[in-house]
Amino acid sequence: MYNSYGFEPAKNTYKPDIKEDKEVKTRSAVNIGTVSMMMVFIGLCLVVLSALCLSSARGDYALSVKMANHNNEYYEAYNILVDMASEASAGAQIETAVNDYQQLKATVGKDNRLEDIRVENIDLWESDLSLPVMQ
Amino acid sequence: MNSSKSNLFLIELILGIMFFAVIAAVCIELFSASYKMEENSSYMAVAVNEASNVAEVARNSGFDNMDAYRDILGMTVESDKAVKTNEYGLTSTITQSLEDENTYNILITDEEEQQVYSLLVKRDR
Repeated sequence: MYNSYGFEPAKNTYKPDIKEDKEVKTRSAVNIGTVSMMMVFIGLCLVVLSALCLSSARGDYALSVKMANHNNEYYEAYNILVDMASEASAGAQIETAVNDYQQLKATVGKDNRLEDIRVENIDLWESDLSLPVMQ
Repeated sequence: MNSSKSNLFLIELILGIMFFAVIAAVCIELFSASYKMEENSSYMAVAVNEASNVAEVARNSGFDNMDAYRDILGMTVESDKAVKTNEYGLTSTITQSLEDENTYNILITDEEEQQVYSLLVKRDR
């Protein structure tokens, strides 16, 4: 359609740059699942640490009991030596077993007193390499 | 949508706290058991050392020289026994056996007077 000037007016091709209203997404700082993962991690850490602590304590206690038992064995052997010395003559060598690996030796001195008391190994000590698990 | 996410997060948080509470309760139990066990083992080690010290004096002098217990071990000497309490609260007591006058009974007790360790030693005649 021509206007009064005799030519066709240009079509308005201008489109305003209007952005579409996009949905504003809000992201929370902590997503769902993070808390669970953190709790599982912290829980595992706590359990592992407490298990290590208990294991160490059990080891120390077992060592203390072992030391106490060995001390008892030593003095039981010593008491036996005292009894043996009372019936032995001066200069005699007497000995008695402390445990499967050691023995207590002494020389009977004057007045049946023990002299030169010493602990000797009678068997090779072998370390216990077995693991306390089901076999 | 947001409301349902918040509810889910809240439920997860509550469950997480409950899980943590259960784990913490178990772990506190384990830690306290470890502490008690460590304490017992240190008491035992100290008691064995104390008993050995007393036994070494007893096997040499018996009760003939009671001054040795006071001078060497710092024990309080009474007529029929010698007593000492160390810094751990462990009390060492040595008495003569009723059956055999050459046998001595060394008893280590804790603050609650419970026996920690005992040792029988004969005097070297």
